[in-house]
Amino acid sequence: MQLVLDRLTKQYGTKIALDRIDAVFQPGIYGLLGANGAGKTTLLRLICDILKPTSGEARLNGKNIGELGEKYRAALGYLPQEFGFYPNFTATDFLLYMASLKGLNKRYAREKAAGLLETVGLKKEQGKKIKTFSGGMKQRLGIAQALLNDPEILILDEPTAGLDPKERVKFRNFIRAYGENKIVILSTHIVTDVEHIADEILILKDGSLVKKGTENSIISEIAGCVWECRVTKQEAIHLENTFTVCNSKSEDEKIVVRVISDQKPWKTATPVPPCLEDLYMHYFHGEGQ
Amino acid sequence: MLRMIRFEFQKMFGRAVVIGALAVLVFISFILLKAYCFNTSRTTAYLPDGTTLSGREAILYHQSVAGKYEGDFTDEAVARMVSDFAEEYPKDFYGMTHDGSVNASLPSAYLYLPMFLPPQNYDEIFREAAGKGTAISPLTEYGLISMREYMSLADEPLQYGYSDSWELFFLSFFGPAAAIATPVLIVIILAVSTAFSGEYSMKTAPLILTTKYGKSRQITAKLLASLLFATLLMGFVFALFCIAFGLQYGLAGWNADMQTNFGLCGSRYCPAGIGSRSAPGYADCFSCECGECPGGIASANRQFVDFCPSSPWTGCWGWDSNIGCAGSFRRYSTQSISKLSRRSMIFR
Repeated sequence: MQLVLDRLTKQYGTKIALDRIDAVFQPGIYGLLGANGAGKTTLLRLICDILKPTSGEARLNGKNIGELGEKYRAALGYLPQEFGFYPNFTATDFLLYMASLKGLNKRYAREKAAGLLETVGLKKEQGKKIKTFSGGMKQRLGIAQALLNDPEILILDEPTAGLDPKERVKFRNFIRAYGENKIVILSTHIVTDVEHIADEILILKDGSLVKKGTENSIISEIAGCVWECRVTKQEAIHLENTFTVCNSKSEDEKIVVRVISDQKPWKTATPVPPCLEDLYMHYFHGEGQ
Repeated sequence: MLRMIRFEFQKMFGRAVVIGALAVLVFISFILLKAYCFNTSRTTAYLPDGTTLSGREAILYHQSVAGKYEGDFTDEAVARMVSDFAEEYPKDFYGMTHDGSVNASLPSAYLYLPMFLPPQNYDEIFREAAGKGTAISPLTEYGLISMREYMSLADEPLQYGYSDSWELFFLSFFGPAAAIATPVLIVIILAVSTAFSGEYSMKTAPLILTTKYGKSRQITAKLLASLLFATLLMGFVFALFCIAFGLQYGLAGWNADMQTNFGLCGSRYCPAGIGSRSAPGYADCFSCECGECPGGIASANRQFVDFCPSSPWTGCWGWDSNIGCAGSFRRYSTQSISKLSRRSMIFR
């Protein structure tokens, strides 16, 4: 199975939301990173055939996804970033409704819904109305609906938003297992989620795909450029104003600042191995401010 | 598909605005029932002793009078009716022929008797009534028009039975149909709009549109659910009216034979707006050729051409559904027709 994005472009008036995106997805987990407004959600919506591209196309096994229609959507599972529920539906009702729209037969749908509710930790709440659910519970229900049809292509837009750390770990483990023979595309702000489970990472900036590859291959770009400096509070402020600071934490009476710089930023600075978060900061430092 | 339709219903009824609208509709239905079905002169009854009943008691009285003649509707039955009428309401005959407010409350069984009174004697009856004031001879003395004058009867005689209250109900229900239709339509619009806009207002569209049938069968399911909802709602309102009316006035006559109803009232089987009768045996009803009757209105027969008037209504049929359709009108003089028409109007 192969999903190909071929010069996929989406334009709203004069604004180019996505500019000629080329990518090939095969079974595995793909992490999509980007700042707000980078075009992640637009890209996912194009892949889901909710939006039509201005130009270019997405193909599954060589066939345009729009032309595949129901066949494509039968293989698709999607968790949007923002979505709602029918508040008077119970969790089970909602999953059964989604199952009917996904064309699953009644008996299978019941079994699958029950299993997924257990998987996402909503077994006890299966008979409760969704309007009584917390944000995290709704998010887990959203994940469950995306998995109802055992999709060959699973698109998750900010799937861990609203989940507590324990649920996030559980989710990551589940997705890791699920993505072994399925295409999973995961968009998130939480770099560690991608870092832990993505086989390949795509970095989207201003509607363009600026980086694509495995974690090691893309962070190698900033190898030797990441430094840690143990400084005073005043010196830390100076570093923050001068360089891209990825992180800072207090240790004893000093502050350990993680800095990205081509050159040694401070006399006591020591080079450290880069991580994905450093790369993210390298690309998106200053955006959204 | 059925599951999808069921869920569409669940979505509709999950909206407080739909439930609220349904509750308001039930309330409005009862107001309309009260206004159109329970509050009408037809639910009053004028008793022989002069007292007037109203509402349920009046209907029950009408039913009891009509009950006496239930069964074969023959010339003998008509004779009994006329005889009983003359006996029970002799003092009111004059008023009855001149005062519509009186006879509007007469037992329904007597309302159509003028159809069977020989019009050639009508002047005589009328003069006697006018002369004596309140006392007249039994009407049966003047002889009656046979049923066969109205229609060629089939082997089996027509069946007489009480149906007036339900007839009133149906006329009343369909009469204010426009009034009940407006709130019903509002509820339908509210419910159906939630079915179609819910995905966007509740932000479930991205979920739905990425499902296999989200862009195809779901639309069909929504359309079918909407159609079903509208049908069920109309059925519900109709059933509500039936139940309320049945509780109020009883079930007597609800299943009366339709042919009997036609047979009882000449004017009622004249198609709306047209005076000629389409019932068997009325082949003598022709379109008016006088050139004076309003368009589309028929005269009882060709001989009416002669009577079609300067005052056009005497000979023209269908100008008002209240006018009787007596096939033997052709035998009358213009003057008689004028009087009979007037009388028929009063009796109705």
